[in-house]
Amino acid sequence: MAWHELDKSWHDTTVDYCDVCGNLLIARYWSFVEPVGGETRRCCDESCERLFHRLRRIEESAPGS
Amino acid sequence: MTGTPPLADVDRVGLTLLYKRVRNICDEMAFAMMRTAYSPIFSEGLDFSTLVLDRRGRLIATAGINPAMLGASLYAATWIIREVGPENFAEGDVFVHNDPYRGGSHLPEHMMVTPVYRDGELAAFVGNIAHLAEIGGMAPGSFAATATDIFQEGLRIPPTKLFDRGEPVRDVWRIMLANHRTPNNSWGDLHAMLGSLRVGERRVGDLIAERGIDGLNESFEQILDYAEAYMRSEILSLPDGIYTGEDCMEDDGISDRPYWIRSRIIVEGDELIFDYSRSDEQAVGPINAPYVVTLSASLNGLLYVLARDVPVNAGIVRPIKVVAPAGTITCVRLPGPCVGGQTEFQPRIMELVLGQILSQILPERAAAASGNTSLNFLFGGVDPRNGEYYAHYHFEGMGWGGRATSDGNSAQIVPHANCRNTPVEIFETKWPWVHEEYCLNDNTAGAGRHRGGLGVRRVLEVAGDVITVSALSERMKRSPWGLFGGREGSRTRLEVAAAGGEEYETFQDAFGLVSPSKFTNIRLRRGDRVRITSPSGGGYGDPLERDPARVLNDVELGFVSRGSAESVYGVVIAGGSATGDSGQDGSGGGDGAAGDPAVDEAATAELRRVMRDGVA
Repeated sequence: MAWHELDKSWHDTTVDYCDVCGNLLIARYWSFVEPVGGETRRCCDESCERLFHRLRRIEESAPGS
Repeated sequence: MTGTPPLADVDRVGLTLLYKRVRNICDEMAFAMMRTAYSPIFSEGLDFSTLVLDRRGRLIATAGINPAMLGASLYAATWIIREVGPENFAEGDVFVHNDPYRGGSHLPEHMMVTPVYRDGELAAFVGNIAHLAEIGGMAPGSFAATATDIFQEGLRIPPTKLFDRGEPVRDVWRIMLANHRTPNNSWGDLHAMLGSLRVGERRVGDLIAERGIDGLNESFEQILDYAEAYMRSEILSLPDGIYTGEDCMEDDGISDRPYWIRSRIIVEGDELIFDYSRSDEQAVGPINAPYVVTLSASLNGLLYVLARDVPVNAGIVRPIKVVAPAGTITCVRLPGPCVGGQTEFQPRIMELVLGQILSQILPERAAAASGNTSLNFLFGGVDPRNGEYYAHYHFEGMGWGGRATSDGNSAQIVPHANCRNTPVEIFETKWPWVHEEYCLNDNTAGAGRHRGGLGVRRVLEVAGDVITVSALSERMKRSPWGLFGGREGSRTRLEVAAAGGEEYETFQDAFGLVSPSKFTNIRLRRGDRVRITSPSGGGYGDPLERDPARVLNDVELGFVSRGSAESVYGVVIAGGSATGDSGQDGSGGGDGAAGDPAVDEAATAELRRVMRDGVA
């Protein structure tokens, strides 16, 4: 869990999205490792990491809702 | 500020006065833009927003003009400031930006931002967002309904300095104007935006002079906190739970298939999540939404039914999360096209939220579907009167949905945008069109205890040698839905009749198009006629519960036929003319004379009983 700079060249036109909410990442991003599976996720900030866990909890408590 | 007092230790009166003053600055900026613009989409359509932001780029207030731009208002300026870096701004700088892949809504909407300084210190920002009528791309009017990537939609501008310490950056201007079909209009409209910024800069400067930079930003922080607390208290009043709904975009202009938007709203305590992760993948055509458009639609849907007095600023988003995974129709991935997301997708989501979903917990505040399309009609060509290129982006009024307390509004632009349409006089003065008809589309509103509003019918005849038209609309295959027993509204129609002919056919049939509602660059000739029929709104509640006196009034106004009064509303009207047009031609009614139409109370009661019970 840490902040990272989106280290891009000034002529790089690619776009980066938050892995949790979908919003565009601007200049830097927050990363965390999924507890299940160990995948690294890039997101807007810590609140998106909390959102990730919250959605997972909701899904587990009410699957398919 | 009215409503729940969530913050006990602030001077609410003082804060209210400050907020209203900042709102007034936004209004003044808006008037400056409206009065000085070259294009009717600014001066008549009011398709713009004006913003005051704090020194971090957070939205503090916006003129209540175009809610559709709320998402971009929250993010686009922040993007500019972060990408450029606050340390790289200077007094007199103006940045422009229209990139949906950097927080914008769609390419035609350009944001301008300028910093406000006092004694060399950055104090705040003012900005605006406005829809330029022509920014190049594959179709005049820059609304290419058959675009398959964003590069076909017009000139894309990342945060770029348009004025450097007050001086125009000529190279940038030259590139922009060279890529627009109507550069003179762009020149005028961009300068209207600039003038608006200058008004805002002066007024915010006055505030800073009174309160100091730190004092003003401290108050701004309190306004944000207030808005957050207000939203939290409103969300807390909702029952916890997961509420779902779905609707679709009819097609994307490229293929005939629908694209489904699946939404669930999760309410947990004083926080709320909009989750669109089960929606369809992004479309090939331009009906996709950038993230900010989905955000905007979700917030607007919520704000229509909840926290209606809340100061609209960056504070309201804090207790709310929107999940719109990239690659779905709710969050387009580069290089997907998205010009129609702002005008067609956004109202679809907004009404899904405020109608279908929130009606489950707030039925008294929900509304049935409006016509729910901006009905974008674009055209351009060379004006035979002066040899100059012209282009225009027209949106049409339609009927709004009925709601718990009233009928839907008639002939009004789709609710998320709050714009005005183009007056007939402007049409005929500026472009080679002649109006043959422009009227309410009678007898089409979705019936209900509160009926939907009426759409309009507009017939235009081409008065030049050639005119190129395009369209991007919806609701031609699926009707606007009713609520709680209200009936569906009517659908959009886009038709054409060849010069000299009387028969109208759809553009789809006439030109062999994939989509009836989305097409690009159809060339019409002098004398050809276009008939635009906008949809009417859905009804709210059982039509048999509608006050018979209101049905009679609708019949007298010609909004509902006598036949529908009986067959749909169960209201029997006695007396008056057979068509129910009494009073309109001066031949009957309106003066209390014998023979005026009136509700036959006994026959109505009996007919309604039979219609309800099914027993004669």
